[in-house]
Amino acid sequence: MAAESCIECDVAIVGAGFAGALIANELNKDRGRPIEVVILEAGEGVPPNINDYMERFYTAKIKVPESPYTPPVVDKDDKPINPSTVNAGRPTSISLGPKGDPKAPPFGDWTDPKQSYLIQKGPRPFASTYDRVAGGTSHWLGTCLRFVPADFKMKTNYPSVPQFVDWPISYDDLNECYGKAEEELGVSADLQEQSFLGIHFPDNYKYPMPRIPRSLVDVEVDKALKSLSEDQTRFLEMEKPPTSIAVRSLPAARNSQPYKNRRACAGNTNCIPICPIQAKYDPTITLNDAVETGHVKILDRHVASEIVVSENGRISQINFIRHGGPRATGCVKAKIYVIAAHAIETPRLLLMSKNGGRTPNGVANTSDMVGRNLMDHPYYVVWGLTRTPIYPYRGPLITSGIGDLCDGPFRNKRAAFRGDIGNEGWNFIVGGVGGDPNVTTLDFVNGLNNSRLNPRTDPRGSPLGKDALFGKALADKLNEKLTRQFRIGFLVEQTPDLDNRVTLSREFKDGLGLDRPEISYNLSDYTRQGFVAAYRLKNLLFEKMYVDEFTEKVAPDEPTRFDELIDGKIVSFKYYGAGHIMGTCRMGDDPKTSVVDKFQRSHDHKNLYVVGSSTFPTGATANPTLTLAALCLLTAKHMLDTDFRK
Amino acid sequence: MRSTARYWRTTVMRDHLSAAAVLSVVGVLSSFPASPAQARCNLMHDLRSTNLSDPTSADPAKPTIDFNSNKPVDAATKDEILNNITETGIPCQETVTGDGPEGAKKTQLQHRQRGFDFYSWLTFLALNSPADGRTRIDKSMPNTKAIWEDRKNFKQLLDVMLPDGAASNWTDPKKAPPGCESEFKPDTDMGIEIIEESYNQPFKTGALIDQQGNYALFDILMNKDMFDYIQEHKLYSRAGQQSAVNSKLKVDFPAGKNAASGQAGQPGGIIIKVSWKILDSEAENRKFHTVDAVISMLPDHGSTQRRCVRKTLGLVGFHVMHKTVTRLQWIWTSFEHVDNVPEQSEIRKQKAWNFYKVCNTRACPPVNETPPRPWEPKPALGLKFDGTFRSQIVRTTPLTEETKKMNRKFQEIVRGSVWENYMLLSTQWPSDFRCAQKTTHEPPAQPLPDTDLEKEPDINCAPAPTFLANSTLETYSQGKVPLASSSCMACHGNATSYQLSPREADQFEPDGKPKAKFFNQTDFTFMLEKARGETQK
Amino acid sequence: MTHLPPPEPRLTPHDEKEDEPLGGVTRRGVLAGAAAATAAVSIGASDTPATAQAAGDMVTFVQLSAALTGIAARKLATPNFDAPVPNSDPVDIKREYFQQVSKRPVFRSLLQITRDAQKLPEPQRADAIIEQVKARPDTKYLARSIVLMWYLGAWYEPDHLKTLVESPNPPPPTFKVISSKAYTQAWALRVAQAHPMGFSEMQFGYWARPPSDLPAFITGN
Repeated sequence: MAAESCIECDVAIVGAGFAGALIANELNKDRGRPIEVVILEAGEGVPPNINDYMERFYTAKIKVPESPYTPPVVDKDDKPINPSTVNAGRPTSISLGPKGDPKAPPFGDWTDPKQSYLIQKGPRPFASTYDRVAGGTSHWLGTCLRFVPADFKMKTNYPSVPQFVDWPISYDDLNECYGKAEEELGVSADLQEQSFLGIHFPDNYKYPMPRIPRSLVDVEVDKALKSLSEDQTRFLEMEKPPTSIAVRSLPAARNSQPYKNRRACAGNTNCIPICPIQAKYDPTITLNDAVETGHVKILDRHVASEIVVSENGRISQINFIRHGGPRATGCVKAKIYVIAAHAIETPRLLLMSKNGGRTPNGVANTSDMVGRNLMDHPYYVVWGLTRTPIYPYRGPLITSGIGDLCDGPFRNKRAAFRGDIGNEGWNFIVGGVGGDPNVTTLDFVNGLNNSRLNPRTDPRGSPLGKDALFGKALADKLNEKLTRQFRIGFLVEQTPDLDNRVTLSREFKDGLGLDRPEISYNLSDYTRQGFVAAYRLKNLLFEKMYVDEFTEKVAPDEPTRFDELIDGKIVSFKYYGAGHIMGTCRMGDDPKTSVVDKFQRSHDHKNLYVVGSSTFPTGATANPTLTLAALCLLTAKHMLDTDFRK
Repeated sequence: MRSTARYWRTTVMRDHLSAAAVLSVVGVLSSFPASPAQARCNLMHDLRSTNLSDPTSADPAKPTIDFNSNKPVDAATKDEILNNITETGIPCQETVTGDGPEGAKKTQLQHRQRGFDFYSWLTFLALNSPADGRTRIDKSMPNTKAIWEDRKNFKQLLDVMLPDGAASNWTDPKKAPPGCESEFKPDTDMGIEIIEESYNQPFKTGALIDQQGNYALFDILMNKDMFDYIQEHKLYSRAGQQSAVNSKLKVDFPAGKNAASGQAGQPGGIIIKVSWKILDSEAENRKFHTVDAVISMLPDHGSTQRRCVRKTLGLVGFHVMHKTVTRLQWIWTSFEHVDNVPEQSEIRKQKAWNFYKVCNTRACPPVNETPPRPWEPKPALGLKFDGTFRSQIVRTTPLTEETKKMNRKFQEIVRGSVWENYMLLSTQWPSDFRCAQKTTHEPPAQPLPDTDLEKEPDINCAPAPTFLANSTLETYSQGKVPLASSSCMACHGNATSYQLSPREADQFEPDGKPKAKFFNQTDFTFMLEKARGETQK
Repeated sequence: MTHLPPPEPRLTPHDEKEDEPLGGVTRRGVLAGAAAATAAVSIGASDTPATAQAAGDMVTFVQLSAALTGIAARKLATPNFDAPVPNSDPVDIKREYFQQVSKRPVFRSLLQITRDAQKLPEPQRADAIIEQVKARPDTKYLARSIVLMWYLGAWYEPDHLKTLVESPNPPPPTFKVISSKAYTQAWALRVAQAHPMGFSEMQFGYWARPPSDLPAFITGN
């Protein structure tokens, strides 16, 4: 790549998602000292409207989180597309079916590289996905929880868990940037309500908007957990067994008022995968603001293919491949480079950059930590029917959660968890094909029983259902069932484990000929014990709420299955991915055991930053977006104070 | 002339019902409307009245104008319509019916659509009639000040939503736009202060650059009924919206209604949104309604100084939303200049469009794309876009044949004035009648002017047609994708204010019963979110 | 002028209130004037049934759909107008659904069953239609496809539905979303007193309080 043909700028960013957008915009907040930024975005650019996204979503058969966005998830026959033919591919939830099950379509075999973008080596599936378009993982829910202070010092606080490390920063170091991130994203929350487990705010701090009103489902859960006995909650091993467990609204980047020229939430119940009225923040908003300054340029469909290191150890350029038109290659030269490609593509790019053999383990990787410590929040979901109608499918997908149990002495022994109270009934967990209400409706129209709401009294286990209805009987029956659907999920903390990692496939490539990411993944016993505690809480909650449980028995061949012995019985669990991909380029003070420092600057290359949730050394239980946003703003400020000091 | 006389007789007979109504209709040509008690209401509609004592009755066999005929509109009808507009102004309330001259060849929906479209034309012509209240619109000059441009009748949004959230009176004189103090002549100039919404379409969807490289400009105005409600409830500031008193307010703007049984008519809430094209040359002026404008540009970066430019503006787009007692979700109509953009079927037509350049080569610019950023006008360039980009816009949803026929007739009626260069796109109206409507308890149930604002499951009440977009005002949201594509009511139904829930916070009583719902709906207008001043959070 | 079939009976007992309370011709007045004409003929748009017969079929189709779905015809098709011929309601989803099934021979049988039932007193019609429809497999499965169209905005092929029930080793269910309009007009979640996910026509905060009761959603009273 001839140097003279490179695009030149002050800062080159790989990835136009949350992290990339926030940094590009933050660097140009002061119009008096512009910083020229070029963003290489692997996928398509920001469209003039969301007509295409919405049309794709509305007509998608399987409405997985990726369904509105490009590249398409399935072909015109609804089959998963072979990732080796896709230029800027990404994993999809359709690729997480059991091995070798011909009946599983459209869900493909998770180990089959012909339909899974990630080459999954196991032993367990990595169950989370991300998007690769301008705006990044815009399919996020919108939750903007801060970490609790204890989350930043897991090694210090819980020394008996060997995998844990401390973050090189504390909650207090991030407090101001949390506030700035909340302003940028537009977070709606109640200050009093969010002051728990040590979360505190600067004096006179105000959230940008008041909290989103709670749903009826939230109120029911709250009532159920209002008065408990110590015996009932002793298993949690909190400081003191709680006699009530708070249900708190979730702070969210979801407008409760007009905010920055966007509408307030209208309860379309579609946050994942896309808000039809953009009441939920997504990074295209910040990208547009950044480009509007005149100093930020997005090169869409430009896939970064190599980070070039010069003799002096500084990054000299990033090479890219342009697709979506005549194929071309090129490069960008900058003073500072930022890799913001989310926690799988970022290590992939770093590892792929071999510099003709000079960096055989990839760039920024003398610690050997690049790609390691891959974490998610394995998601334990349980569901059932309430005794009286609870009116799901209304309001945002999730408005409240159980956060008070996410820290305590128990963390020395088992993973913490947070509860996510679903407002969307059994929509995504009902099983069968197409989610609810499709599955339940088909059951009662066609006399099937995929939802298990239409069982025959005949115990011979027929897949056929008892009722096949028409008319008013059908409407009344569906009303009676759907209005009582309830589900709750638990995000469980995952330990950073060295062998949970992203590497490069030696065999499988994408449509541009680049090595696809290979994933090794498992759940530690510590994490699985967190599921056990969540299971006990579920039992308590369902008892207090009079929920008739319908959580499916886990099939023997379910790839995410694991069993635990609880009170003398084997209990089978299944986990989902929460979409919270973290850890693969962890931050730390020691260059021997971390990839970046507390400002997300690479230890190895002084003009390279790695940003986003890949830098999280531990995962805690809170959704990562707000914390990664705060870190990005901290990084941008650091860049202005050091690399671009006047 | 016969038909005019009949109309006059009808009107006079009605006025026996109320002396006030007599004064308001016969001969009193005061400014429009002087006060609700004297409000004139245009009672014409698309079908002739059957019952002389009830001008809102309709004879389906007798259209006021035969839109299917190729013959020109006869002079008597033309005079009747135009004189009526001059003398009685806008309709205060629509009169539509599910029947018409084509009978069962059309559905009730289509008949009503025709009725609404006729009402929209009357409204458009009445609002754009000369502000002196005497000159007929077909006798106006291109730059004759229109009724809506007279500050006695309508105020611009920024003159109501004042800096620091200050209150104001209807009769307050308009302040010169900042930086234009020496230039601004209040009696003859339109004064515009550029803010983001002046050049960037709603939700920041894009700027629009005409073929001469000028920004299109957008503005919003309200009538006195809207203004009075806003002042009364202190909705002109964020802090005002967030008061304890307003935590219990359900915003419900006044609704227009015709005079009836001794009660005077009133126009109800009317909001206008306009789009302007900057006219660089005299030659262009002849085809547009024009206004002399004094425009305060955005401040230069790092400064508070604002440059001032004087421009001649040509009207290219005109939205009206009008709330009536029978259409509490408002009636939404939109007009455009005929030269704005081609429909797909017209893209090869050799014509100088405002926002499209005919291209017959193979390398044509992409259509309906936003300009390259930055969109913010550079103050030094005087509202010329910085760059060679020109918006290349096509209307993706063509006008229906019915609308085109009606347009031809109304354009004929105003031939000789610039108003023949304007056309109706459509009228969007709530087709589910009893939706969200409160009625009196005693039979026969009569609609109350209050809206059932907490209506579920559908507050929009089945808008017809489902989608509507003006190529200059919703340029980049055209289409037919639910929620994503432009629909007046679907979008405006989402409008909220800064009102807060009552301090007692929770939605439920101690015994678990739900309290009254917290309310921050703004009755279909986004104006309230433009209130300035500090928010308490 | 071609000989046109007699007008279709009105679908539901409309309220006696006028549509336009403050004047204007009443609906009854309109119908009286239009008695000689039929609920026939559409205008303009390309996919409308070209004949009076087809338009009459659409009216019957809506009656059939109301009986099979348990949702009032005035909710499925027109809000306040009479016979739901093409272009009689702004959304007109009935037309997409009609086009999906109108060419199938078995559809004729369903229409005939519906017409026959109109001879019965109104409260008995729905049950009569359902009973007749269930009597034969071909009408039963097409009827189920029609119900699923209205409830889910998706098309499940009747033969596929039959296989799901009758095959010892059925494949996973498969369907096709008919269109974005169909998805947003789907009834399954309205029947649950909610709305299709991704398409709410309600206001900020509505979820904080209980929904209107079921009749408000499916019968409109």
